[in-house]
Amino acid sequence: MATIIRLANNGSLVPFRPRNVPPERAWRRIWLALPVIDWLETKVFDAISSLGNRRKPYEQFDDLMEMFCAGVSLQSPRNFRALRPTDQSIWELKTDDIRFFGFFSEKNEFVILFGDFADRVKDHNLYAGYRNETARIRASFNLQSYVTGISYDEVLSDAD
Amino acid sequence: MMKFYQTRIDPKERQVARFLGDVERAFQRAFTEAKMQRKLTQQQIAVALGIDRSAINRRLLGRENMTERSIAEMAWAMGYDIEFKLVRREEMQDAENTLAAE
Repeated sequence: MATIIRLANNGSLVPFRPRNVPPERAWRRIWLALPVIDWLETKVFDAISSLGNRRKPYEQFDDLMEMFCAGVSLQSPRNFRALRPTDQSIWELKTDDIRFFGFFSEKNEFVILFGDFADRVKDHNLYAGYRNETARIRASFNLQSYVTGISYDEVLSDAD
Repeated sequence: MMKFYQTRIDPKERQVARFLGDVERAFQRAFTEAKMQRKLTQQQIAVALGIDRSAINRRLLGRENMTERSIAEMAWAMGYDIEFKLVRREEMQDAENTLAAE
C-alpha cells in the first residue's frame, strides 16, 4: 500500500510550497501531479484571463494556493466543491479561470491530479471525464486510505 | 527529482494580485452574507447605483476594474463600511526587492 509521502519520494507527486506560509506553519498542504506542473508552466504562466478577470490565471492560482495552505476559509461552491455524483469523493478547487481536480488523501491534504481552463472544461463538458480519470488514477496509486467524506468539515478545517 | 513546486511571480505583481483578490473576496463574502441575512440581490445594488445588474455581477467576479470611488459606492449600496489600512511589510526578501527596484 502506498502513501502520499512515498508517491512524492518516487516523483509521482510534488508538494506545493507557498511563499508566504513557512512549511512548518502551513495549515493545509497541496500535492501536485507532474503533468499539472507542466501545464501550469507551459500554458498558464503567460496566459491572460479569457473571462476578463483583472488577474491573470497564474496569479489566481498563486492566490488560491496561498489561501488554501494558510487555512483561510474557502467559499463553496465559488472556490471549492465536491463533484457530482459525490460518491467518488472527487473535488474541484477553482478560480475564475482555472479548474483543478483531485482528492483529499487526508483532512487538509489535497492531491491535484488535473488542471484545465474553466472555459474549456465548460465548453466541452469535461467534468465527468476529469472526475472519472481522477478516481482511476487515485485507484492506481493503491493508497492505504483517502477521505471519502463530501462535506466541508470532513475534508477541511480553517485556521481563521 | 523536483523537491517542491513554488510559484514564480514578480513580488510587485504578486502584491497587486493579492490585493485585487482580497477586494474580490471581501465583496463576495459581504454579498453572500447580505443575501442570506437581508435577501439583498444584485438587482437591488444595481438600482441603488444606477447601473446595469451585469456590471454588479462582473464586479463580484473580479472581472471589472474598480476605482476607489466605485469600491466605496458598491460597499455603500450593499450596506457596508470600508476599513483601509497599510501594514508595514515584514518579509526581508520583499524589502530587498523593493530596495533593488529603487
